[in-house]
Amino acid sequence: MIRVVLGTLLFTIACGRDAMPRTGTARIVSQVVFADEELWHLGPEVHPRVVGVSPMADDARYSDAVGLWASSLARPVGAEAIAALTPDLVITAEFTAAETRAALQQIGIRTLELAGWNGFDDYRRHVGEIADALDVEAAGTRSVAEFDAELARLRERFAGEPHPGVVSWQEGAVAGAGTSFADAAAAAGFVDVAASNGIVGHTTIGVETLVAWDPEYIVVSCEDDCTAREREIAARPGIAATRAAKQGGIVAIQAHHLYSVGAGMLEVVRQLGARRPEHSP
Amino acid sequence: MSPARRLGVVLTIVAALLGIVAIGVGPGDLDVSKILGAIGRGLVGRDDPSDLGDALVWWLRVPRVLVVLLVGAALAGGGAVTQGLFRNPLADPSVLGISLGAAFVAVLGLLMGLDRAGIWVTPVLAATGAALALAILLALASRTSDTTTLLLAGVALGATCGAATTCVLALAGDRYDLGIRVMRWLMGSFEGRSWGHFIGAAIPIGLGLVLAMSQARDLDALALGDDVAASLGASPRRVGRRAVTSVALLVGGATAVAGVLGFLGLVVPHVVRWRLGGAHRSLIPISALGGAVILLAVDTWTRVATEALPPGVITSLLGAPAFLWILLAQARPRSQ
Amino acid sequence: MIRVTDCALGVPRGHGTRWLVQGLAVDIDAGARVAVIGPSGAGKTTLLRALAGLVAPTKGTITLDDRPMIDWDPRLRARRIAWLPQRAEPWSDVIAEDIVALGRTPHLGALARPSDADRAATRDALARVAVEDLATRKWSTLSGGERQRVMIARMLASDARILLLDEPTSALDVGHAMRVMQCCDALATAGTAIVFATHELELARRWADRVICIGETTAVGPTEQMLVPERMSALFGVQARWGRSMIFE
Repeated sequence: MIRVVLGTLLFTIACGRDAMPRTGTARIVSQVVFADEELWHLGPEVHPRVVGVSPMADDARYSDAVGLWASSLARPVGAEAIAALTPDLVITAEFTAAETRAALQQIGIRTLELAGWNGFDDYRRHVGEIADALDVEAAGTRSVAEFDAELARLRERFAGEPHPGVVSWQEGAVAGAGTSFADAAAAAGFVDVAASNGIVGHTTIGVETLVAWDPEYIVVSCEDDCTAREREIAARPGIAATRAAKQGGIVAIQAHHLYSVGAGMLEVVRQLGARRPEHSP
Repeated sequence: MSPARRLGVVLTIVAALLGIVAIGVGPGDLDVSKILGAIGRGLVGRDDPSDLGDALVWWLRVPRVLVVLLVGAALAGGGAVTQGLFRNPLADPSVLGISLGAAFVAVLGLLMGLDRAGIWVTPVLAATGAALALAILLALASRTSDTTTLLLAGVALGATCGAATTCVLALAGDRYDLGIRVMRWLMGSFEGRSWGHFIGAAIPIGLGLVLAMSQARDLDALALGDDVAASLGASPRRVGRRAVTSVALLVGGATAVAGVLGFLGLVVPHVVRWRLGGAHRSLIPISALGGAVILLAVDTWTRVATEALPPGVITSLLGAPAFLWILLAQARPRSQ
Repeated sequence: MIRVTDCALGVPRGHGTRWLVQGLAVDIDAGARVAVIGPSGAGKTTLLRALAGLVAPTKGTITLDDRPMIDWDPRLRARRIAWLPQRAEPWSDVIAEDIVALGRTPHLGALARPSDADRAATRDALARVAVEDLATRKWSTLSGGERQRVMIARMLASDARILLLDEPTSALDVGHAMRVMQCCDALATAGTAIVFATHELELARRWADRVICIGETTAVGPTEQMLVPERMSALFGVQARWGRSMIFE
């Protein structure tokens, strides 16, 4: 008798936990492109709970979530518009407008602030944080596992010597150790030259320094003009003398992949790796 | 030797020495023979743009040093002319709104992504903006010989362009990469300036300096006011037009190739006038030399010590307290 | 030299014109010594500015060597006519010698490089008004009288043959005023035309051959005919009579 009662009790509790989402996650608003992308990857059980995505979700320059979310879904800008959607949870980042974050806090709306965008580990951590907050841990784990599986596949594909040097250079801004680019470069079998020269995180260098490093590959961002961009960079005074320019090592990758901190980072690995002569199709 | 000539010789020597130092320092582990070799090859047109040493010295350092000297000379020389034209020791060439007009068109180009077509795009757009600003000012200058009206017109033009630039930035607020590109350009930069930039800047700046010097006598005549100047045979209206044109060429050329750099045009001629007197025949060239030397020193230091700090930030950081110090020194009571 | 024919100078007032000078006809030839007198605001300065070619006459003509003033190239005209304004201040604190050197402007090339002749003329002008010892002094350290003498030296440095002086002795003591007028007188004897506007009737009586009276009406004539009590009473609105005064030599 006690077994039955205990069993029923446990069963009810278990059912209750699965059937009722944790208080405060029925209506979700995202203000970060990364979350726009990840909320989609988490699957159909999450989609109906999303009542608003960030205004940049449809911007092909920054987002891999273009065309995924219905155009009728709100893209609120500012705390007022967000509050009007009566969300239970707003996903923000440390670069979301400070006034918006402060206002949401004052109104008493629950926020999940994602901070730190320094590579694959941070990506996994953020997916976990979102999944946790939405109480869909299983979906989160699955999403990360998919990412890791694809990453492993790419690593294997691009394994092997040699390991050429690469610099991500955006008009002076370079990515050193502890950045998503450094992780992507390593996965594609490259050495991040900025990191080897002691640079940690993102910083700015002069073009002379870039030329003095003489990397075999230079990665730049592009939009629709990737081939033209590679030609233009390769012809620049100074850069024209680097091995990258002389040996076809200027790689233009579309901005929304290059700056992605989500699954789009794998596209950087793919495109970079494919540029190595021994791996090109 | 007159004090002005002495100072001119000293500044020229300092500029040459600084230039040598600037070409000699930087990344790349180049020894003296490699540097001299690159310069030698470059001078006879036998340099190899695909050789790392040649590229660093002849395609990056040497033209950059020359561009910096040109821009410093242009801003300080333009400042001397502006102060003489408006009879105001606190006038700065930016008061005419030329650099802000140049900045506005350049920022528009950045917003529309035109700069992706090549590194020559932004300078050309900035030069166009400067030319448009000049056209507006000349149209106003022809209607009045009153320099106060001209000054107010320049201030209004500058304010309008500044407001328009802010508006453009606000509307594109979500595009943080644009924000960074615009800020970087607005703070001034000599990164990657090569021979194309040098030639593109040398033409307007050279013309501007020649035109400025041709107005030396008439700018002197303005010292006692428009009426006395007219009685001395100088036409205030004609001087106004030509002086404004020379400032536009100087500031437009400098801004197009380097972005916005503050304070040089204000402090350098002010100090030169204080020490040497106001005869424009020597004021303009000595100011130009002084501006060139100071800017080269600033750029060389930022290139070696910090790599990231834009020269415009340094000129402002140094220029503002320097100016305060000068004003205090001038205010010290003199004995009769 | 300068010929003024039926000249009228007016300034707009409301919907009409306030006439300062009307129907003035006068020839200013070499060696002329002409004084312009009248109450404050009557138009003395305006007349001098018109003679200097700075403003065009509202009516009538002013010619220089039989050519209308406005047709002259400003620099060529400036070599013939020098104008001393009532008040002029340099905007930066220059030294006195630089102010005097400005008088050579009409003779300089575009680069304003002074020749030996220019430098000599500057030194000579400084000496004539006894301001050589002030040459290297900054403007802000000079007294009002010293400044006026420096400005007169500037005018003299131009070697112009027609000098227009607006209140040349207003800030000067008797000694310096004498020296200035003696210098001008000597120049007039040598063929320079002098026209000076003044408040001091004694100055006009002592140094001018002819007087132009500007007031309700405009009149010109020899000094002894113009400087009579009846005319002065009408001009200034005060009682006038002959008396005795101290003479300075």
